Amino acid sequence: MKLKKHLKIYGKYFKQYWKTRLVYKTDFLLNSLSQMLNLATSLAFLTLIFTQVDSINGWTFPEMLFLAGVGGISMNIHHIFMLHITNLGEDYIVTGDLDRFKVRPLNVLYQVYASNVRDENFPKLITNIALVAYASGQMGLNLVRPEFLLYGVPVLVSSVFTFGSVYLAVSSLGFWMARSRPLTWIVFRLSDFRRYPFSIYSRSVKIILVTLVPLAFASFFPATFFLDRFENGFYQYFSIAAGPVFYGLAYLFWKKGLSKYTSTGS
Amino acid sequence: MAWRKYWEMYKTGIKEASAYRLMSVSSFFSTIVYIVLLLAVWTAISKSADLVGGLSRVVSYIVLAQVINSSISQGLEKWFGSKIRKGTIVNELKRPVSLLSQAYLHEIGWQSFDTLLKSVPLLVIGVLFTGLELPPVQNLLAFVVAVVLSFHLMLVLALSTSMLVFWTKTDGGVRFTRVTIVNFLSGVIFPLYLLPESLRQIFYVLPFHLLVDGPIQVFLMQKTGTEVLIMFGQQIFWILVFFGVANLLWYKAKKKLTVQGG
Repeated sequence: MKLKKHLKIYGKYFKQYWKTRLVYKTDFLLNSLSQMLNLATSLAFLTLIFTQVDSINGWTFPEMLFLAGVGGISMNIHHIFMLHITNLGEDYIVTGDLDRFKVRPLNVLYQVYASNVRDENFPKLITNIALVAYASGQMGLNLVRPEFLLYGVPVLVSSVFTFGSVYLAVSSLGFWMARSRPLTWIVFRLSDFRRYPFSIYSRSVKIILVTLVPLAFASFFPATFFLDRFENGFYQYFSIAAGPVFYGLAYLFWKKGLSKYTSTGS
Repeated sequence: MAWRKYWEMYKTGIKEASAYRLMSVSSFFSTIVYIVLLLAVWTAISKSADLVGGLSRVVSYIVLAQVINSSISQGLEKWFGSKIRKGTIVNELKRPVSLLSQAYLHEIGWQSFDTLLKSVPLLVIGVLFTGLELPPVQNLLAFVVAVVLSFHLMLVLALSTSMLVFWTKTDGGVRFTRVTIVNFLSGVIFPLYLLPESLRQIFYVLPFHLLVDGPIQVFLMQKTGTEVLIMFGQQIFWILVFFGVANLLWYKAKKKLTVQGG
């Protein structure tokens, strides 16, 4: 089976990656440190806000931490395995290195993803899991319930791909613009929107967060399901399908870009 | 002419910046996105909190913080990093202008371009759409001077951290760490006047508030007359301190510099 083959080869890529990675230990340490520091300042921001208020639009401090953690988990899983796509323009299109991937009997996008593991996001993933655990404890929320697992597992997978769809679509613009890295700065900023209650945004921002940049499905709506805040029942369930749907669309866009790709020709 | 070579290096910075204008444009839009987010968050907060000075003061502060940040942000670690890794730093060392001056001229060249393309439009947007009010002309001029001094303070700070790249060999983590710390302590992430009293005292002892919070206070007329002059003095003092630090580190780095490759 094709999928099986891809998975098997991923293991080999992964091993290869770690071999090269261990050469740059300081790089790993410094990057992890800076990522953790960045997360710490976001949490400090949240904490400082709550020196001014008791709740934001009815969301308490533990609830906000929970929301930040839920979105943070799926985002960092995405970042570890799929963030390398943001280098598409600079590393593969401008250099013409995508040629290498095109002549191999493997999916091209798969090869881009498999080329790198952004392990500096791993400590952040752990921290976000801890955040969810801590916040649930504060609220007396038991997450290990059958209906939560039944919803939680598929929604986690879906959320990772929802993040994936946004990063893939924006990076695919690299096929037309030759560069992609700077554009993803905008996506990084947009990803910050996942951390706050959907209800604080203006109408136009809300529309963007469920269509063009559908990150509300990867963070806010799943979080409200666990918190038993029925802000929008349909969106909560659609969050399970959002990943495949939006990722499918982004993949079509990628395909269109790929068909336009002509090598650097030198 | 002795100045000629400096002028050429300054121009190289501008040219490079304009060649990479997608970076400036993207970073401009990501700043807009960030402002939109912060406005939504603070508007929501203001509904259930009694903010000192009200929502409008927070909004002005946030917009100005981004205007200033766009004028003073630095990528020096990267400039050094790529040259250290590839070993091409020997080329810079051979030139008749010191390495630190080259880095300096490159950054002001690059920054003049970015200020025009990012900070000025941001300020105009702030005035047109967020109700930001321009101060009287003497404070507006003092604001410009304060930002120029901030730029230099950030430059010597980044120069000091860039020197660390000679030891780490990798620049990404170093830069990101510096940016994160500076953003937090200078007022870019959270308005310093809203901090709890005890924390605020610590923040104002450190030099970082002079980068962003200081110029904002000048713009918002919270510092006038001699207070402004005192702030200039503090900025200059810290510029000299970090310039000393950078030079000391550079002196040490030179001794351990190994050029990679053959």
